[in-house]
Amino acid sequence: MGQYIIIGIRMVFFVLLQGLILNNVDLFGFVTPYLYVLVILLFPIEANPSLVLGLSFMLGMGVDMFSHTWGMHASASVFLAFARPYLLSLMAPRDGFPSGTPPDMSHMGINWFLVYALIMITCHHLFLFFVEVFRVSEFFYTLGRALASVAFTYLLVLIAQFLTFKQRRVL
Amino acid sequence: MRNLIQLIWKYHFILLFVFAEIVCFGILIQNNSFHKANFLDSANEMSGDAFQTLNEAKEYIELKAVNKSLSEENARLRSEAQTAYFSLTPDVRFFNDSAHLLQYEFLSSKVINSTSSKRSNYLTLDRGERNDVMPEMGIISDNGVVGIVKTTSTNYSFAISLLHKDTKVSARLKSNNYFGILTWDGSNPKVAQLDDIPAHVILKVGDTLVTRGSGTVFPPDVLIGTVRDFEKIEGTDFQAINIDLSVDFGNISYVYVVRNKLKIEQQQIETLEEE
Repeated sequence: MGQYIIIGIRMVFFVLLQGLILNNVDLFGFVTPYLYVLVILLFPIEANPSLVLGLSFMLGMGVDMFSHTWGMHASASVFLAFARPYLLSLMAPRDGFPSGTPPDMSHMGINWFLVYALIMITCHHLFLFFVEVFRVSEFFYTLGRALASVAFTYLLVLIAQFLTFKQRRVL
Repeated sequence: MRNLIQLIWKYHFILLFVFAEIVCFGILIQNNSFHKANFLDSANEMSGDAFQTLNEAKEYIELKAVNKSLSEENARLRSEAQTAYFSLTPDVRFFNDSAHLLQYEFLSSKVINSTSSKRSNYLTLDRGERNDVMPEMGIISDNGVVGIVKTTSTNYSFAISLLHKDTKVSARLKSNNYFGILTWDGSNPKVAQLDDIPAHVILKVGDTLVTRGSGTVFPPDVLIGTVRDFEKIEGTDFQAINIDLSVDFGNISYVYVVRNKLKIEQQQIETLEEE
């Protein structure tokens, strides 16, 4: 229960952070980080996938509310929540995940998290940018923009994780 | 029946995903069309309040630049005002008389949120229905054309920027009066594209582009930008022209909403003719 209160607070915090501050960041005129994906990354591994899907939808809608792109971030977040269980089962350690842990850097180790975050952020951003443009004619330009934002978001996600990093015995 | 329920239960995660995506795209498409009323307007009001608070903080930082721009505009208006002219015909008064009808009214407004880095960019203004702002009113700043109002709530209005994949503005080249359609290809927020100019039209870099005023949205002769470069499109009779926009969408803060008092009359007579 307490876990879900923390998740709720975290969702509100990241929606506000994204909507009021990060949406205004335009590095080189066109690179915007979408740090709120970190919330989806950090849902507990054992959480019900359908619940994660619903929460991701709400998270995306919250971000959409601030950028007037109704449904755009929500669809990308829902897609990520859908892809997450499959990726987690692909990346499971040989003897399964330790029980009751979120898939973050402190619990899963730096190397594991680097790969996990990169794949997740790339999936999310590619989906997001192609939904935004909604056409194939500008394919490579959109791809470039998406990948530039992936790099920026990835950097911020890693910084955020190092800020809360606690060295544990990696299982 | 039992099998069906079992089947649904087995694939409920995938079905839930598909359902959620259908909802998302439904909302997305509904809100993309220009005329649809926004059923989430009350939420718009909510985020509007949040943006306003943030904007009040940001204003302090931008105060100096805004003051400069405003005083420049004041100076320009002063030089255009009647009192700046020496009257050669003292018997003729030009304004506020029954021989001239006031067509355009300008409502000053503050941009409380805007983007310029997306493929489709938007602005939020702190004026709404309370001040008679309606969808499809034009927005200009002291530097030129900014965008078009899309939806309004009581205190806020939400506008699509000139930097949007669906924005089309009828524009006129001041030097030779040819007109074309201004669009934005999404690559550079300082450069837009002018279409429909025939290949035989002779252009110069730096030629001024203004609004044509043919639609009911913008008044005529509002600055848009200057010609950056141009080349003939092979196999057609038209030129591809890049326009340096006069408005810097990265730091836009004060704008005017244009209210065209003759709009309904013009629209009525145009639709009458089509029928």
